[in-house]
Amino acid sequence: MGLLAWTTIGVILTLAIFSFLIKDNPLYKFAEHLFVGVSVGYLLVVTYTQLFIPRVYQPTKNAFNSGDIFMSIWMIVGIIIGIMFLTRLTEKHNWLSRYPISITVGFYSGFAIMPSLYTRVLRQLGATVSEDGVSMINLQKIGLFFKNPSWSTLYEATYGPLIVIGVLTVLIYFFFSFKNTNPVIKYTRKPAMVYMMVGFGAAFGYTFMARISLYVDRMNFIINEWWPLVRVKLF
Amino acid sequence: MNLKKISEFLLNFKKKYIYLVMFVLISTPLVLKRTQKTYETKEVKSIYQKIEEIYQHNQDNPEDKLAIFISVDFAPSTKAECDPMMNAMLRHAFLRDIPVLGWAGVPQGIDYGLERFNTIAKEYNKKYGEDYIYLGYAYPFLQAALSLGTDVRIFSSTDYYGKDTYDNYPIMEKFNNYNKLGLFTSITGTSLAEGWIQYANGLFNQEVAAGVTAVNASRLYPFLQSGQLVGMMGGLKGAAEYEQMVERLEKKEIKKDIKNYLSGLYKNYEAPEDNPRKYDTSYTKTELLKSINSRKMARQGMAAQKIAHFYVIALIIIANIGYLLKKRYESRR
Repeated sequence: MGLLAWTTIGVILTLAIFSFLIKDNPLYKFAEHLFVGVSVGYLLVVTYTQLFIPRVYQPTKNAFNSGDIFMSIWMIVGIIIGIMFLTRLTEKHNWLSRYPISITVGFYSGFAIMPSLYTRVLRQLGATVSEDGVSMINLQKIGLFFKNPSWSTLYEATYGPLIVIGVLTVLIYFFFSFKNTNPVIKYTRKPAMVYMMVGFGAAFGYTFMARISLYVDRMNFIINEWWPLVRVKLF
Repeated sequence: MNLKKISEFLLNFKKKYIYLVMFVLISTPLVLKRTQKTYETKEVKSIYQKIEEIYQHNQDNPEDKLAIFISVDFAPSTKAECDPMMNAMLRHAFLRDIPVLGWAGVPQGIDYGLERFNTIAKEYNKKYGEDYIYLGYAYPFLQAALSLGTDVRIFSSTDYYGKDTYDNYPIMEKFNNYNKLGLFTSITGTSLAEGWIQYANGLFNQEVAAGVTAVNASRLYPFLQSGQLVGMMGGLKGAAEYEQMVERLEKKEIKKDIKNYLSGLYKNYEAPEDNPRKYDTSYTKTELLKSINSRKMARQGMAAQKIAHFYVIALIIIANIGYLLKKRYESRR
């Protein structure tokens, strides 16, 4: 019966949120506030049980119990640096929080710069030049299309050049060091715009699909989860 | 013909009626339990094939098995799309007897992810700590990603339940770093998949797959093209494809009706004391219903999705006709 009660509460809250589609109302406001309150409460509990206990308390206790002095000192240093973040709450000592902030920024920057450059620039650059060891502008594939014109050979022939042209024109579009009268800038603007519009269109289409999915899921919850539960438990 | 009247009618549909029609259209296929058969794309098939490759590797090398890692990087707010992906992937792994490790990359997904792991494991009688494990909250992300480079137990010294991962779980002895993972999958409604590509693939050459919400899908296509992603499930469509492939496999492997299979799974079963399950070893009527329903969740969603898309296309066309008529009427004035 508990499951049915909780699921029914879920249904009521879902409908309360949807009631906003008609107009703002107290039921919607109640559901919204409840959601915020529950989320904050949940995050607090999770922070304690899934972060503080396993990442701070337990390892420190283990280090002390096992007599691992090096690890114990390391944990204590970490905890002190972490606590220094909290000095932001006081006006007198808030300068101390700059140390943990510096350590965090330094650590994350150091780790992020190289992988980011490699993943988002170098590998992408490579993928614009060749794919699986074959050049993106492959004259053989283009020739094959003219010898044997079909949809698949057209796709094979244009796939690579379209990517190369797209990358170059869009990069030039965001190159602001020359005036628009420069012929290279001038004649690549329109193709770049087309590429970007196609990209935005695809992203919008996907976004629309995502939003509908959310609605479908809620309806699925009511029709295929809650209602069968009511039938099993009550009838 | 009164152009003004027609254009005004076409351009002034009341919002609540538009929503009402949407409600009816989306509810109908769900009430009728219609599923949408979908074509399978290369990017989803490649994830499926990768897991099949891992299965084959494990068959050929029983002493040197590979596991998969599933990072639950989504909150319940995006469960509509991510849930069927995770269900299908877990079912595929458990059907193929591939060990699964998991954790949550976002705090709101911690308990939800655990519930999914235990529920799907129950369908295949899998043992926690031997066949699968859930390591709780993977925060901070960077440290979590780097720890897998050596031994994840440095980072996750305890699992979700707070038990020591060094002593209690055989699965953690064998599979604790990228070398022992055949595939790392991030199922996410955030940008965490890009983080995994950056660190797991970029630094450790780990094969990474992603199951992402449709909103995030278009951002990940360049990584597919550059080979940094093994494959990608994008939104409900991607989930429906994977679900379809796994259903085929399940029918082939289990060879009986899923309801009968689940009902009979724990008949005459006594849970061993040394390894109690993290779930009840029996199925209630509602659990059975839920389990069967979850096998076609994405394809049912796609049936409703299709109708919603047609409806919106029709609305766009109607509104454009309205504007054209309005323009014509105004130019005549």
